[in-house]
Amino acid sequence: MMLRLSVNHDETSSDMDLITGESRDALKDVPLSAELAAFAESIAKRDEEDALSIFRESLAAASSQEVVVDAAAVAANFQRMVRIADSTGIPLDSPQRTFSETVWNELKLDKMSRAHK
Amino acid sequence: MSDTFFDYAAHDIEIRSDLAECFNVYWRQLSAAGTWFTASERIAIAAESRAAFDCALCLRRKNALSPSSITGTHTAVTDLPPVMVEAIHKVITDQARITESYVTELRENGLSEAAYVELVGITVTVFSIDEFHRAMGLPLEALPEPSDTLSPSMYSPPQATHGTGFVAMLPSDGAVGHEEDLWINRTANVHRALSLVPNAVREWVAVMKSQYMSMTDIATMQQEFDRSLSRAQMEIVAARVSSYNDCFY
Repeated sequence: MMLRLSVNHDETSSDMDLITGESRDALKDVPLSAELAAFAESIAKRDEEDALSIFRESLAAASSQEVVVDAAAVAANFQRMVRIADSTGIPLDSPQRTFSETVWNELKLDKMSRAHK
Repeated sequence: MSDTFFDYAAHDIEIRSDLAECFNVYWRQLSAAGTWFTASERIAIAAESRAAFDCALCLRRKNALSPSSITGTHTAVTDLPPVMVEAIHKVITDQARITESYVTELRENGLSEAAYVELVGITVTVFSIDEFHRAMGLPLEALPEPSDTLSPSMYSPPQATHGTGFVAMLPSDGAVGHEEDLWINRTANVHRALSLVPNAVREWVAVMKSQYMSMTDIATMQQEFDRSLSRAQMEIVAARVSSYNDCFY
């Protein structure tokens, strides 16, 4: 949802297929989108260093060490956030849920049983 | 306590100084007595969070359709009570299948609701710092030694109530009194989630500010940061990690 808000703010497209992992070509209007998504996915999957380093180096080659640091920090942050939400069973805030109906459908969140608890 | 934790220069790698500073602040907090745990217990929780992915029982449960049907003993690296080891490992390895009845069962086995909240706060904050290191190809930072032998404060905010999730938390407009620094006016559920232990919120929110952005910047859709990534680029990373973790939030 923050992604949708953010890219809409920038008036870029916001095809959510990149986020669900279904396409690496989506969100092309955002620089480095494919490299960032691939690095983020490798972190979330907890790939071994051999695999993770490939995506880290690919991102660094396409950008800079600073970008790698900032991307790693954001990914690490969200490895925590999901665990806070799931450990405490918080529901999506009502205004967010109303706003995010389209994003909700695009990300196929109804397939997640936890989305209804 | 040593002030040489998170000395990234020693690894010949350039990392924003605010990250090292906030991690050092958190390490100091971790090394001191908390709300429901002593300093030694808090550090043990951190150590156990690091052991979770190497636990054979957790691996078998993660791969099972019904994790509760798999019995056994966790591969623990501390002398924490089994109920605490169970909770720490679950939060790290299989958090998506934590339910209200699971949290109730922990309580019935001796882990109070408030202690569970502090345990979650430590587990996930240490995990997020460790994940940053792993993402960068860095070794994990050595855990601190206890800095005191004080008893936990056992502080409980009087305005905490049930009704939002599995645990009591401050109402959205409940950041008042001793908790007035937690947020202004109203806030999102994720910000409230650990507020039964206010210091747990203070600690993870401070780390989040350096790893991602402040709660204020999130709420106001701030677009300008002292970062190499744009807001949209940050959200791509955030959304891909969240999507992989089936995080609907």
